[in-house]
Amino acid sequence: MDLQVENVAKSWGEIQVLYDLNFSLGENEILCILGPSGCGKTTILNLISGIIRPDAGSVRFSCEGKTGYVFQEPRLLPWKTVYDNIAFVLKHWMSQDELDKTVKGYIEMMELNQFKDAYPRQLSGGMKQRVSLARAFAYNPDLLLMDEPFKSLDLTLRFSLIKLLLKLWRSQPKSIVFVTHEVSEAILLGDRVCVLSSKPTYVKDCISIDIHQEEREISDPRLLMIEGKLYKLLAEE
Amino acid sequence: MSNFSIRNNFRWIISVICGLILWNVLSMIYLEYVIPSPEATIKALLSLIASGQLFYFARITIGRAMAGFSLSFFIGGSMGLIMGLNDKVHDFLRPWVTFLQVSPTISWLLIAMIWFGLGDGVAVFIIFIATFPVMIINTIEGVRQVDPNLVQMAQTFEVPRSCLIREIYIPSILPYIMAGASIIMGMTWKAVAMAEVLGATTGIGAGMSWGRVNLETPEVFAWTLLLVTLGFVSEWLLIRPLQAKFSWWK
Repeated sequence: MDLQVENVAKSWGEIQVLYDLNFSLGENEILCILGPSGCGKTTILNLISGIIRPDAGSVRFSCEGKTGYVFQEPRLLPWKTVYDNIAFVLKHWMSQDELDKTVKGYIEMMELNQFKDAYPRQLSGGMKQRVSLARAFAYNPDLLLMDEPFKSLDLTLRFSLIKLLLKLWRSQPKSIVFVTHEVSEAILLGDRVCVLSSKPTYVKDCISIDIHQEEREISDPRLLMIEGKLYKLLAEE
Repeated sequence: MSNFSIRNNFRWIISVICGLILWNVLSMIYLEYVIPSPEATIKALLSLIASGQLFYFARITIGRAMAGFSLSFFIGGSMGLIMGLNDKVHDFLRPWVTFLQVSPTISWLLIAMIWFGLGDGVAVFIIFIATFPVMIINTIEGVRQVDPNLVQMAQTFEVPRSCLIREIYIPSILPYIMAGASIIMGMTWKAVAMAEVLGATTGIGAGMSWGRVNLETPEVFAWTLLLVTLGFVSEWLLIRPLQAKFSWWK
């Protein structure tokens, strides 16, 4: 699914959050949106998902389709097991056999076999976020919005979840908008990285990364150069 | 058993013993028809058991209490859920809930006696009127406390509203519903006794009324003891197991 965000503005009362915001997303592309804390990154995702409407400008999609969401917090139902949390978003439109196959497939892919009957309170933060990722991919959206999903995790866990996310994306390609304030996440994941200003927020620049995600290593000099560029863009007034 | 629960049980036993001692002392100061001794109360209780009246009246009162409690639990819980989910319904009905909450139960009792005559109808009606506003208010509060992030998650994944209510709202509000059930269970025993004192010729309340008329204060105390025991038993055998059952995931 393609996405065009054109000249979008949004205010909350007196505060102008977004101003003349422009970016696009191509079919099966991962677009990372990088910006300082509090610049309105979540507002952008809420505009795309239709939870809120822009004051000016437009958000246009190339076709009708489903939108999935991975939130900052895993947002799992505490009274449901891992299996049932994933099944929860599928069972109203999927047959029982298909649902069982789909849920079990994602549980296996996310290496959660041992925990399929566990409740969220029995899982670590990383495991909970894996369930949240599995739920979003099992829903099979055309567009996946990810709102700093690895924010509360340590570096090692974050890199392992990035690998899992790429594994899911390769097995089921889809357009992803990944919002983050971590440069390392953006350069490991993004086909393109758009850098946001602070409020009122606009896109300072978008940088393409022409290295296949599978070949990316955080210590790769080419990536380090892009990382430097991104830091410079972030620091610019 | 952990040290904590041993210590708690010990305090509990000490508290009961202190209460019994105080009761005994007061019964020595006042005449028996004012405050009967624990011994006289137990004798009255045994005599009620021997005559078969205790079990007969207890069965009738328990039946009425459970009928009133169940009506209040299901109707109050459902109305609370609807009012919590829909602001228009809430705004329309809320003044009437407050009206029922603040209107004196004794007024309803007198009205119910005119409407239903003496018997089961009065007791069940009074329990319902006295308790169901509490059930409604507790359930509304539960709905208000549902995690908006979970609701937003379900809406983002286009989960139908019926499924949202069944799988997010109801499990979320169950702790509030069970807290409401615990409160109305206690209120039920008080309400049924009051209704039976004036509005029935059978049941524990009616037994109390006969005891008062005949100045058989030990009998009044014996019936009260039975009612309190029923209150504890219902809390331990019904409410607490249900509370544990509905919060297994916590």
